[in-house]
Amino acid sequence: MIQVEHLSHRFTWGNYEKHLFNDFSFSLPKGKALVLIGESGSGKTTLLKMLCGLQQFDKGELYIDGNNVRKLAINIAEKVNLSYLPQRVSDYFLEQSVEKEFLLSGLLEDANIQSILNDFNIKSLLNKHFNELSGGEIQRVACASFFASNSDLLLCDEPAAYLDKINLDLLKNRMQYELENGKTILITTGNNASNPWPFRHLELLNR
Amino acid sequence: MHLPSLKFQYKQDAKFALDIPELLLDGIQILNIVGNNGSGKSTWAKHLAGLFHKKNHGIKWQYIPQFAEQFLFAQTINEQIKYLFEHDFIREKFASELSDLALPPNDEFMDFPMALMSGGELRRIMLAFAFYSHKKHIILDEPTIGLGLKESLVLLNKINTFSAMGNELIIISHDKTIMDASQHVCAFENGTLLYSQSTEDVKKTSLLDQFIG
Repeated sequence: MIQVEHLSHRFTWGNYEKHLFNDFSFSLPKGKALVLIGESGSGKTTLLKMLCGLQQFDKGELYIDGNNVRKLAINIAEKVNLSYLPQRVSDYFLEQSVEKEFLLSGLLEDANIQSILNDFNIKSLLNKHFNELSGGEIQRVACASFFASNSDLLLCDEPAAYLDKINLDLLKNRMQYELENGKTILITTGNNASNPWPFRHLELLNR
Repeated sequence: MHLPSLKFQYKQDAKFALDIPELLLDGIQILNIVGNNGSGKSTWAKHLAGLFHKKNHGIKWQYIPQFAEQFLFAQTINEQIKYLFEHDFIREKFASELSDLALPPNDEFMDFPMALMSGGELRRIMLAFAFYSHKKHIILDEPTIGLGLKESLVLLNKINTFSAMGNELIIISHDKTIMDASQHVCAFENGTLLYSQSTEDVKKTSLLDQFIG
């Protein structure tokens, strides 16, 4: 369960100032999914980073399963089984090829991995170099390693980006499957109009 | 819009080959490319822009990549400007490109670290550089990723103004909103051309359903 209570934050840089989340509160019960919709710069990514303990915040409190994120900061991952799918997924790959990346993270030995490789239709990409992959293929490789982590709380930043319709449908099916298995899911998107997520949604206001 | 035929094969990958015929699209100023992931859209566009080899295809296209961080290498907008331009930089013109895309055209914003900006802000900054560049032939690869609906409409407006000035655009996109700007649609499949039709005609059929949600 995620609880966001009276959250406010201010970024400053020289004379530049930006206010996010004016006294913003919501909660996401365990086993449910929520879609955060907002224009760019409304704080979608920042909120996910805050929940992972990667970003500090001025006012308010965040709790995950009753754990205070402010107190635990980056150690929140020790208390809560969470995974974060970042927006710029390519930044997070350490190796040169898909297979080496999966070897490094121990995924290739994982019992789940075969079904996940099939789910995201990326078996044929295993021995490819990341430079050879298209935007959508990179996104699917990232999704595969994200879901293989089998975490209880899934934080997904614009997971639909770069995906074509077929692969977006595959991703939606996977999200549904994760929900049925009791996972809690938080998704962000800039545009929920053209191909909407079938979950409860919440609109972030740009201040 | 006249686009040369392109054939290409990766040395290491015998399975994928790009083989797109010459496209003679008279009177077309905005072309939309659709196709599933890995169908060769970006590879084709990079060839057109001469990013793989210096073969002269006639018109030089400017390629704007799908990952904004491949384009924005400096720490701030002002720093990127210093690297890209010399004395010929016209600040007022660049500022108007920023405000056309609903970004604040002031120094506070232009000195703000880009590492702290959101994906949609970075994408619009990259697009502002593209429209500023004086190039008359621009390829936009997935220009609406990270943008909200309102921002996509702002971009749609900008694209229409840009083409009304006599410029040509190729847009690679799965986005229904941005497709409205185009006059023609080409669909790629497995490195080949699946169809080439006017946007008006293709919208009447179900041909787009497999690509666009």
